[in-house]
Amino acid sequence: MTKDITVGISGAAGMGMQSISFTLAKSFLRAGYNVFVWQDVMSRIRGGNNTSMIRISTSPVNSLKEDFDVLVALDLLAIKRNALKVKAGGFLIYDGEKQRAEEPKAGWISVPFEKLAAEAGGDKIMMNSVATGAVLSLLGAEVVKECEGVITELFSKKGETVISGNLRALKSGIAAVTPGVSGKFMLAPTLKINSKNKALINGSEALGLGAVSAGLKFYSGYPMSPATSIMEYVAAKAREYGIVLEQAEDEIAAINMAIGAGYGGVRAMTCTSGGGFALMIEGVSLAGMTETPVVIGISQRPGPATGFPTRTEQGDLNMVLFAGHGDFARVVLAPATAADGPLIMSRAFNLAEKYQVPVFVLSDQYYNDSSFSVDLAEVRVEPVNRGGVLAEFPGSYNYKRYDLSAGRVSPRLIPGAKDQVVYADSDEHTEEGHITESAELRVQMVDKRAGKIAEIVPDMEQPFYFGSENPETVLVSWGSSFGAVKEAADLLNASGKPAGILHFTNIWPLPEIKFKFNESAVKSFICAENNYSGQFADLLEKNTKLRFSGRILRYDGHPLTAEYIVGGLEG
Amino acid sequence: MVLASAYNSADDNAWCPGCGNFGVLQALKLALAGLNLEPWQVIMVSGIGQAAKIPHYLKVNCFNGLHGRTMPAAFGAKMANHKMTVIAAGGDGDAYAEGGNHFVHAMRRNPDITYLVHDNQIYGLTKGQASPTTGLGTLTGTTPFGSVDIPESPLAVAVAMDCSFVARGFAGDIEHLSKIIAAAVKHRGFSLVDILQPCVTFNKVNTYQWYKERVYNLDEDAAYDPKDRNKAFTKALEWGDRIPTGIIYKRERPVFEDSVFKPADKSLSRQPFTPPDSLELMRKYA
Ligand SMILES: Cc1ncc(C[n+]2csc(CCOP(=O)(O)OP(=O)(O)O)c2C)c(N)n1
Ligand code: SF4
Ligand SMILES: [Mg+2]
Repeated sequence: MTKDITVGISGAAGMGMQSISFTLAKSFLRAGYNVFVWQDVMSRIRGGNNTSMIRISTSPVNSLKEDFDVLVALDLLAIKRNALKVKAGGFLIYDGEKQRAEEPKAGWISVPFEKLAAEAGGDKIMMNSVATGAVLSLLGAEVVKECEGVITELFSKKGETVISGNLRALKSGIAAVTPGVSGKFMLAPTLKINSKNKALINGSEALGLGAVSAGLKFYSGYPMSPATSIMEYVAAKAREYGIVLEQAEDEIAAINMAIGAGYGGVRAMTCTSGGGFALMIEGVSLAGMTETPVVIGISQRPGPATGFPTRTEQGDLNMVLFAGHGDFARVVLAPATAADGPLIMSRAFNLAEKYQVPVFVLSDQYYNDSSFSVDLAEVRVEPVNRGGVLAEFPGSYNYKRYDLSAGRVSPRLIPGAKDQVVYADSDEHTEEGHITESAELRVQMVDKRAGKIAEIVPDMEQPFYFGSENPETVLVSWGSSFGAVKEAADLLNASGKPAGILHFTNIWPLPEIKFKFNESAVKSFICAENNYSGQFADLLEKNTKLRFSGRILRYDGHPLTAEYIVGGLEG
Repeated sequence: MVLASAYNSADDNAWCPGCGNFGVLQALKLALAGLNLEPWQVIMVSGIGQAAKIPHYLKVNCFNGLHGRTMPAAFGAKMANHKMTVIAAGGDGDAYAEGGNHFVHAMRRNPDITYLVHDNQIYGLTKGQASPTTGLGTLTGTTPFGSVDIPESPLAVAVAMDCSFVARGFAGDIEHLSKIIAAAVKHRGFSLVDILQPCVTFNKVNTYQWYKERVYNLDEDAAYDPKDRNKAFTKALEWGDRIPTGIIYKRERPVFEDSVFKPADKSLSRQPFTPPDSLELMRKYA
């Protein structure tokens, strides 16, 4: 019986790969399995070749495989581009009547999607349900009941005929796979208990949800993949939770709006990708100078310039660390999985207000667009800490926004407090917030703003460590690479090579790192990053005791996988 | 009753003696006092330039942000505090060059914000370069052979954008200017007040005298209807021997805040902090 299977759904943009993968993923999730879905898409709305990759496993899974056990090819191009990625012994499901140009090979199963759809529901659009059924058949069809439930929910607004047509299409898809083949990838049974306590959620939704539950009140942004879906999540919730959301004219406006709202006293956020962030950079230093809390989400995609817009990379860390002229403190966080989204967001807003600094949440296309199975019992948030923001202030017109006697973080007053005014200034300023030319004040204010970093350090969390107590190899990673790197360490341990993963979600400032493993056993520290140079490894070598004997790097637009990492170690 | 002197600031003023900005400052104090607003009830947002220093010379809440980015910062501050009076201020370079895109979109958005643009037709703080409103042929540091780019007519742009309140003031006529500012602040919606503001140091063309010879008070013309958009467009373009001051165009439009707040809502910054539970939101994905 199979414990871990990868299914690809491939076709032209607009053919419904995402809805097939969603239906399958949700069905298996409800049947108690762990699922993970990534979208490998081209930057176009119709045509081309996109693939949804679904991994279904009996153990937790947050990463992909390089190849497919089963590939559903919805058109000819899907076969041409992906047939070679089907493992030996795997299956390719295609429509032999419609995609006839290729000579069928072993493991190719023809399922006449359109014909069966037309027969079942009178509409060829239901071919998605036929394809779903064919996959279910190969995987043992133990989850048919769950799948019927998902389909019924999915089409609930479209009425009874559409639902029953799709259910018939599903059945005919199941029946279309010959008995000798069906059940070939029968999945090992799972305990169905608690399957209600699992959610299928993508990274963007997890971040948007995290921000809303952290008390976000103002969101401004300009659409840019892969960050747009965070904005769309917040937009959908804005009415219900009293959030002002505005699509800005550009990213410069977006960040300045968010900073204005932060000055105004509410929790504010803007999200973009690297190119949009390039436009925001003067705003970052404005937040630093005015000591205004703001959360900036950066969903990375491969650059430079427009780059590889729909693919993934962790290539913007350096930009985020160094963006903005002058010296000032900042915080950088990067979630590992969707389960982490709410925790990272709650921390981001807390740290922004506690220290009155810009806080970055660094994710990427792989994180944002992948659907993770999240165990609801594991979802955590940090209790709200608004950094003692004040609504009123005693006395009459005596408040000083940059009061030096209060230490590096001065009490922050919300404008509109009776008989007080709050001056915030992008020029070098006095304690009151007025423009100054004083060299002495200049030094005090720089020390105040940049020196906050020392106060933030003790608040930063240690990296996680998983693996052997006496590891010979320690893989070091950050953010969304967690799933792949953890799996690579598991594979090494399973093959008798003691290994561990040291994984960071608190990226900057770095805490003083304490190893939870026997350091003397380590033969090599290897970083694994989704970029060309090992940007995080450079940061660690400059600021910590860590030194790397190797770097496993990937920058082809695809995420790291355990196979890629293990292959890199061996090669 | 609030006196204009209630707005006095202790901050040291860095403007040149005789600068038109002093007229704007005085007119603004008079307008705010006339509206019976307390200093703590007002937020001013500005950019960078000589004009943009104005909030420091008043006692008000102030966010003095980046060059050109006044409109977005003001929008954010207003959304957090929609019950407060928000006034933005800056120069012609700030508003129409670096901030040109934001200016256009602020008019589309129509928040209840008043924008005072101190239009000295020059870059003052950077010591005398051409601005978007510098006249053709004017010699400046960056146009040593005379400016060749056609000057922008901000008022015509505003009328074209259907901006809900469009006016021009003159820093040399404090009384009229303070009335215009008061009307702009009172008007619900985005209000542009472009203010002819002599720069005595760097603009030797558009002097007090030059403006005085040309300006006339449109508000005294009972036959002029500022609600007529076509006439307003023509008025907005009038520039030469005669330059109109006063309310050029006025129009009731739904304000942005009405799309997000109910009349009884307090400012977001003063509402109780009660965000939803993350687990509840997550359960929708089960
Ligand atoms: C991003 C950026 N670019 C350029 C400058 C330099 N700068 C400061 S003020 C200014 C123009 C000033 O002209 P205006 O806005 O008309 O204001 P004025 O000084 O005339 O009142 C410029 C170009 C800056 N501060 N920031
Ligand atoms: S440079 Fe011009 S605008 Fe600036 S203060 Fe002096 S006179 Fe006024
Ligand atoms: Mg100017």
